[in-house]
Amino acid sequence: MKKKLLIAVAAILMVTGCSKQPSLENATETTQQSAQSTQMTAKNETSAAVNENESVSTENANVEEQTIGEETKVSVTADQKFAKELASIVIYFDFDKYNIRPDQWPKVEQLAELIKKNPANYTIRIEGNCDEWGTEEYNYALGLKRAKAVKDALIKLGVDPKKLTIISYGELNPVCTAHAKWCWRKNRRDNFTYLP
Amino acid sequence: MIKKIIIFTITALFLFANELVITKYFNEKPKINILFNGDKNVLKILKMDLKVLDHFNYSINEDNNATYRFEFTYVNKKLSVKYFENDILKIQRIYKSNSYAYFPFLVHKAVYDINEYFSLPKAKFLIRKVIYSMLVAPKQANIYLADYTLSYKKRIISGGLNIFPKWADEKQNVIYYTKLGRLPTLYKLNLLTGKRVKIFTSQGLLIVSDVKKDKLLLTLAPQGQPDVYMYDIIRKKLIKLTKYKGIDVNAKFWGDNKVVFVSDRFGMPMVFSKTLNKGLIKRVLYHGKNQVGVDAYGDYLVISTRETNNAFDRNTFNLFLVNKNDDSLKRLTFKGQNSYPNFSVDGNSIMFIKRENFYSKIGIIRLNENKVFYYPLPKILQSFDW
Repeated sequence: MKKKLLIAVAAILMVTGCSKQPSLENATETTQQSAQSTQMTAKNETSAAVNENESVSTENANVEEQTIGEETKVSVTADQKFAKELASIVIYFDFDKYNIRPDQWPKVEQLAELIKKNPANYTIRIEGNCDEWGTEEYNYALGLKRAKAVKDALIKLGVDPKKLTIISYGELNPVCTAHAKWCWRKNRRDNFTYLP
Repeated sequence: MIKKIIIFTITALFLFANELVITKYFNEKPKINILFNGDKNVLKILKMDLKVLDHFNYSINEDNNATYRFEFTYVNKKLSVKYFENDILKIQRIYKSNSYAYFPFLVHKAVYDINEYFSLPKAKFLIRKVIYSMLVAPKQANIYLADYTLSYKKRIISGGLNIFPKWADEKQNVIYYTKLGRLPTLYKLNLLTGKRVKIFTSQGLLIVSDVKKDKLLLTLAPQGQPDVYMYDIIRKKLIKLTKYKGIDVNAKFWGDNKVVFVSDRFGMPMVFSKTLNKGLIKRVLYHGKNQVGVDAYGDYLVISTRETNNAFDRNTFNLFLVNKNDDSLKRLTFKGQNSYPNFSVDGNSIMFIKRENFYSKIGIIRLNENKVFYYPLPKILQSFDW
């Protein structure tokens, strides 16, 4: 019980500490004296209800309320874990090719299992990417075909097609920007993004 | 072996003959004298214009006994050009702008007008505006407006991925572009009024490849399958032009009744043509390991081909000019990675992207003059139109 109280007090201190930070910054802009300045910002906060800064701080407050509830906390972390697991899977492709390489196939199976294990209502965006070769339009199409190849494979493995969307980033989303062969290899890939 | 030698000799003779024609052209250039007074940056642009135009035998601020003299004076956002013939003032032209930054366009117009004064071949590239998209960070590409030298630069669209800008009208007031959000969306933006109209959204891929009056050639993939489509802006009618299961992209109008496009239907990307009414599909160039980019003007095609086939090293991409009538082939570049060729509106020049170590350059080929000029760019250019 004491521990909980201590945590609560610490949390309140942290919250108040945080909420003061932006107002102090504002204060230094207006006047040099700290005592006067805090008063001035307090006035500003109450009078300027339409100020954009205010709406940002209320959003933050809402977020903190949600994290206190245990049920929501569990579901958020489960989603995050799922999103992380999805993001950790990267399927690589050969130069100028969009068929799935045999050595990449186990990853597709792993992906299908992962999606089937999580029956919640969500969408997965398959993002096709390319290396720097070729003109942009062809690269985009190549990226899209890479995304579609994995989408088709996932459907064959029993994944609900409604859960899958595809997009191509062409060469606009490189993970590696060095001009070397190991780098180009890393950019010829599919990424998977969780869209709640 | 003898056959090979004969072919080689004929080719060499042909090349030599070509050179002779060029030399003759060079000697007949009109001789002019330029006197410049004003800002050093303005002079720099003037020098570049005359160099790239390559239509005059000129000297700047040095007497060369030319019959024609042009006196340029740039003061306070105003460029004045006096035309003299045998020391007699013939014309005075004044070019003004609201901002200092706009001066490259004043110089370009002044040089364009001198070119017109001598009734030399059109050089519209000087006064055309360039619209381009540039990657500024992963998943962030802005659209900019520039002059052909890319000295003047104005950011038009930012935030997220704004790609594949294309001029929508002859006067260069309206553009099409794709915004890659959750779904790719095609927009039409009027640069004068700022009015933005959403045309449509499509899953996967949405690119405007070419514009001809009210008709657009698009690459779309509503079911994840990239194909070439034609869209009528007025009637709002979409026609699917290709239906191959692989990749069909990058379509361009070629003459009145044909389109050319890039397809991997033979296992590698190659350029094909298709007649609009009969639907006959033909391969247009038998050269290179693959062909990834194409543009068309009149009877001509410019094609970017990969000449090496190395997955793990530098590949060479070169540009070739193809003539529909005699099937002749002319090599336009000789080394490096040259891609994204784009004809100027008068067909006399080709702008393209040259890449080197994750940096890009703009290249301009002056077809009649047989010359290429490059300007560096600090970041990767995603695409452009002029």
